[in-house]
Amino acid sequence: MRKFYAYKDLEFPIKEETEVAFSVELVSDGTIISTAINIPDVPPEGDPIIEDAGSVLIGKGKDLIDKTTFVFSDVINLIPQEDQITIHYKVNGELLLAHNNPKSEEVRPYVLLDVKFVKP
Amino acid sequence: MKKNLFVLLGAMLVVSTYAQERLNPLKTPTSPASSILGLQPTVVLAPKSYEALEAAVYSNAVGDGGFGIPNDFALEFTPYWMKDHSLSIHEYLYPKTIKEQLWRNASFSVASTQNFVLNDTVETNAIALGFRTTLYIPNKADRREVEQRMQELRSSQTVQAAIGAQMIPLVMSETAYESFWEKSSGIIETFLRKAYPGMTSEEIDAFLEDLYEKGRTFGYNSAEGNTNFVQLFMNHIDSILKGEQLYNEFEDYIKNRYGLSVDIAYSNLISFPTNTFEFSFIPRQGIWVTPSYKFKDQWHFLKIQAVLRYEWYNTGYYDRYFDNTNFYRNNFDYGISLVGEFNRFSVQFEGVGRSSSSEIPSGFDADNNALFRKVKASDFQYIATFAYNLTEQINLSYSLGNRFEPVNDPQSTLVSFLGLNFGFGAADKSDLDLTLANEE
Repeated sequence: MRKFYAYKDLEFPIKEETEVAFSVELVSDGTIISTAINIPDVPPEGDPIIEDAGSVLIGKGKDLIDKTTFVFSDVINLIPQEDQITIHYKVNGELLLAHNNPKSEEVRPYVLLDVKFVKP
Repeated sequence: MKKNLFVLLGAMLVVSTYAQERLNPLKTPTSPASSILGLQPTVVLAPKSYEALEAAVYSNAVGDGGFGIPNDFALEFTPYWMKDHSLSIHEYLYPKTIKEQLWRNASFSVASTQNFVLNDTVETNAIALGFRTTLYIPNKADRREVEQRMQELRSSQTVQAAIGAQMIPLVMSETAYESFWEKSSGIIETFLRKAYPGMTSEEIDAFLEDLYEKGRTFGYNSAEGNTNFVQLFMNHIDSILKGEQLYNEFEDYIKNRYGLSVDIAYSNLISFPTNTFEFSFIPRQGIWVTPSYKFKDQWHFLKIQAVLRYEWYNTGYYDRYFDNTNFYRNNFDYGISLVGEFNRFSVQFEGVGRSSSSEIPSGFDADNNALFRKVKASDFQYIATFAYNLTEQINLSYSLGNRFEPVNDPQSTLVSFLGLNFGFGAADKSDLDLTLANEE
């Protein structure tokens, strides 16, 4: 069974008028990942998906504050030279979370982030 | 980095040989240093970081009496992979330059022993150093294959990520499985239709029915913080989409890609006959060039491999330290093999020719200049090997054929070898050199 890494109650301070950019950066080599961001009050089909690494705008701070944004990644790493999976999740360029798991533990992890944007 | 860790446990009817007369495998050795030393290490250390490399060398080379040559020691390290480069899978599969590719695949190996036996009696120290790399020539069939597999994986991942992002809030808001399913089934169907436009309505209905029925057994619980249900639910979606199978097939393909690749390796042996650092020989050096071609489409089970191997022997050293043997200075092996893999069963036929030559002193001319006479020899080896993977980690093999004439017993050319290999850690079949069992 694929392991499920859930990071709950992550908080990130943001100003109401600030545009929020969510990004995924791959640190380890050869990782293949799809990341979906469940933006509050946006219908499921309107939620953005990041393939591998990249950045998407998910709205202004006032639309996200005091609500929960769920981020879900389906991750795999199949290159034999790599023994770790390391992914950086960032908001506006600042590190929100560094996920790391040894491949001996799981080569196809699910990663769930439960993010609350709060006023600074 | 995966840890190559293998143990060779069982062997029957092993023919006694000298190191030069091993049953030469038609491939570049995984660890050229161990190969030229004739070492059969139970563990090949493969440190991932420079710190781990230092620790491996230090812990093996330092004893009570200070630094020394470790006994039965084998280490292989690949400098490029000692740190992360944030390579995407495409950047990993298709390096921009040949130089970059050669460097990425470059590995250095070191092996040492305190039991390098001279004249069957004297145990001495010896070290071997090796290098190997691989050059792969990308081709259209490979790119098509990679793109197709990436597309299949990507569809599965996109659907799962999209569904996964919706599941936790739904579970938290719905107290009963039925109401959860009522809200989630439409979302799942939408994402399925988007990612798999070729899926029929019947297939989608079957998918949803299977998921619904199985989901009921996962112990639905809407308590905040409970992710067990979502984990089971997502894993079942992955199972229906054959996520694990797609992963395993792609992983296997990356290890064995269509087209031409060339393995290149070099190693040398340093012998210390008096066990002092000041007095040493380089008795032997070897170079391997092994091109191989993996066929595609209906011939995908076939692989053809050639080998060019040059081994140089310091005949002065062998004359001095190995009595009653006859080593040629220059040995050139050339051969070809055909490998067929059919699920768990594989069969390999190989033929290798050997051309050896030496110049030996034959007296002096009228001006007292030394004269030499060139002596030559040739030989041929042909072997068939049948292998069957009993499990992922256990491989049974049988080899039958005619080997090169051993130095100590030229009549013993029959090869009949049954081997059982147990692999531990992340070793796979490609890490197991079945012919090592025939070395001594």
